Amino acid sequence: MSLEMKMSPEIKVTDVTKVVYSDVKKLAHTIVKDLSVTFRSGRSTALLGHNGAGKTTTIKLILGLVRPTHGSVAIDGLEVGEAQRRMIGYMPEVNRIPTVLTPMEVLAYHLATYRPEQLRDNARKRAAIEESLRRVELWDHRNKRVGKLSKGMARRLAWAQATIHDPSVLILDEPMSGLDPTGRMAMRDWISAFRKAGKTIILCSHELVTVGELCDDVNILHKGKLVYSATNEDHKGAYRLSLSGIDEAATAAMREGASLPGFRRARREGFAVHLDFFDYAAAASWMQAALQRGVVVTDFGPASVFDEDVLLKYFGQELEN
Amino acid sequence: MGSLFTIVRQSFLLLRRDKIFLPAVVAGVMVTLFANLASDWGIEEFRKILFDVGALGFHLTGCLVATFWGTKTISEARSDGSLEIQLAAPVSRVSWLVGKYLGLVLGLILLWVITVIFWQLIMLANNFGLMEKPQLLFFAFQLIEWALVAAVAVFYATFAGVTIALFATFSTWLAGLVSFPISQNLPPFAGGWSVAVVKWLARVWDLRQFNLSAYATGIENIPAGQLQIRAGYGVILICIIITVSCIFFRRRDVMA
Repeated sequence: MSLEMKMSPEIKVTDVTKVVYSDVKKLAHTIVKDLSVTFRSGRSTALLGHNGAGKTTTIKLILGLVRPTHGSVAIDGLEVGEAQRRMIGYMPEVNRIPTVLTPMEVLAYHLATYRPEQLRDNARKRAAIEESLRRVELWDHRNKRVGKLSKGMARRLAWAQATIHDPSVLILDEPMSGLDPTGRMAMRDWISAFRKAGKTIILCSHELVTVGELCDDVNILHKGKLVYSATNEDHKGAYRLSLSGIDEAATAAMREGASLPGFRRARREGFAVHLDFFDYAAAASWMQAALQRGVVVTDFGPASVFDEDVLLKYFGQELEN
Repeated sequence: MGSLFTIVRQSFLLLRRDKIFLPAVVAGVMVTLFANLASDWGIEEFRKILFDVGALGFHLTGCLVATFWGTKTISEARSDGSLEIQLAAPVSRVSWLVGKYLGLVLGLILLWVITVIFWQLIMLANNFGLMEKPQLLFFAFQLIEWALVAAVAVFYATFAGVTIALFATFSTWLAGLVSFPISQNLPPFAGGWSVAVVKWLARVWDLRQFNLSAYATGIENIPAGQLQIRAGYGVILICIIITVSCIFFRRRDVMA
């Protein structure tokens, strides 16, 4: 499988409302309300929100698993059907793989449903499965039943399952959950590779740092509504400096930075201090002064796509945790 | 077509490795052994006792497995979330459901073959020789009933949870077994519309049609045309139930 550049589709959710009815009293409950959001072609977009915000329902709407009560979901202008689903790779939050199957059988089934033409070519099919399993370091466990794999291995298998057919759209729901630090680093690299290959990625995660590193755009849902939407372009040219430790020197430096032209804002987060500037020149001149004062600068680079005020409003508790 | 074949194969594989497959085979074999033992106790009509007791066990084992598997294939897939990932694939829901059902029928055929082979061994051990056409037809009609019960289980599982689907399938299966005897024994004071309903049910849902134990033991002679009608009745019922299941399933939301 190669990650060659190819046209990735755009996904458009337009004025979608989804109402479900409770099983017992048939009470109407609106999960998603008047949602309009575009997942741009070749971009990596974060879909954030608390539990129950409507993220999973939005994903299911895109996958065609749930039908909208009102509105429409289109992939490259077409309603979601079999042809559109063929372009999508989906990794759910929880492993949904039958535990009695082996990784080989799981991928063979998946490949056969997504790429039925490969059914006729056993050598090609086997090569694709082998390459995929080797990439996620599961080749040595290929004949072990999924139920016997560790949680991290099962997550890696879920990644292999989502990507073996070389999808042009990748939908990832909490891809890091259940992974150890090494696994997380590997997962980050795999997602980055897809991002560089120009695929359309939708990423749901509660890990804001990961999302910040991997996404170009961000959308926040709250109680089924889109409450925030931003792109990297909104923050183009903005730079951030991060300092380690809150000592007198750092505090003085912050005060000095605040008086400089181009300064945007400062925020304390635990033992770190982050300073945002509107442009590179302002950030660089401040850094020079700060280094001369002996302040430890831990990070310097383009500012994140996230507006932290908005994030704090919706994720304040999680950030503190 | 390729996708359908893939789904059938995977469904069959999953059922073959299912926890209840081996116990079902053991139960089928044990029931046949018990029937053999019971036929030894009788002074005469060994063959009839073997078939009466064995047929009941054979019938129960297959129908219970069909119910559990039919329910499990759909309802459990929905409750454990695996349905979500399977339907996110580029396969139509109709293909998926039909594929799952055909895989289930293949699983039942495997169970049927194993049990019938054992039955043949028991017959050979009792010097009854090889099975003849009536006995083979008896088993073939049992398989049709298993497939029919499996279709009912799949139908309920498309819109209900595991417990409700199981209960509804058992009830429907029992209704099919007793509908005709009840319709023949209605009290004289029974109301007009209730009689009509029971008689209609006995006409459209009569699983007694698939019980050929009297034919297999030579007590009853059923003409070939009648056998064809009974087989056709079973196949038509299966097709109707699976079609209705597909209609229900096509537009349902998949919410874990």
